[in-house]
Amino acid sequence: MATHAFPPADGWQWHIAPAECDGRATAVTASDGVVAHVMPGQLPLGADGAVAPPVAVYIAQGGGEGYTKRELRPVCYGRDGERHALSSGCGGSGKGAGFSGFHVEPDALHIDAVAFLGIEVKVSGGADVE
Amino acid sequence: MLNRAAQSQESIVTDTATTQTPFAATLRRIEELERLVEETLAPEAGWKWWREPSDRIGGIQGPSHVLTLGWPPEEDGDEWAPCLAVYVTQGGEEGVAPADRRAVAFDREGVRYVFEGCIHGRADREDSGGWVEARLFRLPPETLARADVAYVGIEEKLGAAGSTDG
Repeated sequence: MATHAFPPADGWQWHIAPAECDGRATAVTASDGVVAHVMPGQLPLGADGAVAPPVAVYIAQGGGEGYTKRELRPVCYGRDGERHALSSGCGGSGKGAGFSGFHVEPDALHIDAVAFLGIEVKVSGGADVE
Repeated sequence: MLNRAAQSQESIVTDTATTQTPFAATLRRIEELERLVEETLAPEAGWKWWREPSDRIGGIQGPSHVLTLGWPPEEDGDEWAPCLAVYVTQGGEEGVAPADRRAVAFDREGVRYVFEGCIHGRADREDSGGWVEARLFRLPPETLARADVAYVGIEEKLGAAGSTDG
């Protein structure tokens, strides 16, 4: 499917263009200093096991000490074409790399309804880190 | 000599008993026992601990995250299973080799289990030539159930050229 079917949000552009994605299957995609893992997320506390987990996307970026950090976020599209920008929930960093963990709750987008996933980068506002 | 040592040890215990509250004494005992346990959790020969084994199963430390994922059932209708996973990322300058790291669990008997590499990716930066990589490891429930995991740590192979930040 052509990328133009999925326009990025204003002020953002695609760092990794949306591609087909099965929310259940663990997958990885990488481009220009960015590695994104898609995986089933953590089961809700107290879940009886029948409950599906949220979709989780972990984005790593780096490049050695003093690397320039970019503002990135994953965007999922459901089978109905609806767009869902994932919210950041956690993160960590070391000298040469760091990561951010994102998720989307099942009531907003069920894991079995995920169809495409891309990674957006903010066009302006990037900052040097570390 | 041994008697004097024993007397000295006894006086320390007596002093401690008279100056510590029961809570403090219990806390100290717990810490001593934790230290004894952790001393037995040695890395494999040729490896060192990059992230020391911890009985707090979960959480972020530096560029790594121990988490419990929901793992999809093999057949429709079956339940999602909790699966312990470890996510590790690292980065470096152009020409620097990545460190070889792996996640390790211990059960309540002290038996060690190496996580299986699940999926990993790497990307070079176009502007600087630096690189980043991220790995996801998992411990299949059929290998060791999440509830039976007592400690989790991350080992790093000795002699690798990568960084040891964390």
